[in-house]
Amino acid sequence: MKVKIHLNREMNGDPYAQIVTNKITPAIDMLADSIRKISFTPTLIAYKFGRKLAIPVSEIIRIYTENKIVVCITADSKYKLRSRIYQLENILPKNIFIRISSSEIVNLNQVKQFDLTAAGMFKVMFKNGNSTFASKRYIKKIQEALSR
Amino acid sequence: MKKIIRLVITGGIIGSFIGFNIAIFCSLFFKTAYFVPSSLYFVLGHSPFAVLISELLWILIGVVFAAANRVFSIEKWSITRQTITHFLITYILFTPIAVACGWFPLNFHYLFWFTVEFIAIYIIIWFGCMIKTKYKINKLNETLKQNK
Repeated sequence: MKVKIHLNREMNGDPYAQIVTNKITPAIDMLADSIRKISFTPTLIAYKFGRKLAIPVSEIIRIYTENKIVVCITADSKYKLRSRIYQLENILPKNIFIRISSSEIVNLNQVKQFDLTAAGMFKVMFKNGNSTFASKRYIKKIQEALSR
Repeated sequence: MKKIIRLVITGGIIGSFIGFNIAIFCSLFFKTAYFVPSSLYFVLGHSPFAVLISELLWILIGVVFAAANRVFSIEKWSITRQTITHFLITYILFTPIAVACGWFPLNFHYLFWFTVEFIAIYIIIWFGCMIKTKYKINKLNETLKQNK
């Protein structure tokens, strides 16, 4: 099949693929399905200043509860989420996102290392220099998630 | 409320079990003529009340320790803070019960060495907790590095 790429610098939104055909055959359906599958990036619906946005989950560093509001942090911004922590724990890919305390989920790909402070706090350090505190009761679960 | 009831029941059962067995062991070890539940028999003689009051004191000790153990579940606290809080709860509440049981006379010399021993035990607990947690966190870091 001939593949054409249209370059349109004025175009808004995400890139999309279009198949031009004179007849819809099972082969065309399969092709459309395959394109959808390989280009699918899981996103989370988040809010900022009342605006609704879709954030690719790979960009999320941590999700936690702050004054009873669930927020997520990316490299450059902070968003509100409308789901609860336990719901997000089930939605997000389990091999990447792990629960580290009753109020926080982190992206393992963004974690640089774990640490025990002199006072005995379980600290999680991220690649961007940020850090957070985890619950010692979750050490076992984190180990299991990492070993998978 | 349910949690408190469960805490009192389990703490009470464990406390009276340990207290009873120590009393039997001591009675046999010191070859007493009768079962001596605690030094209270000096006051109450060999009446069932001496046993009953001793048992109540053992239950109380069990409940104190069961309640104190809850501080290790407070996930936002460091090991140091958990250990010190546990120490304060048991030292303040357990000491008067131990005196009431007649385990040591209430004078400066005994109280001083009791306190020294108590602190020494908590320092060992603190070191144990820190080493155990440090080991687990090191293991987490190793697994994290292997995944990369």
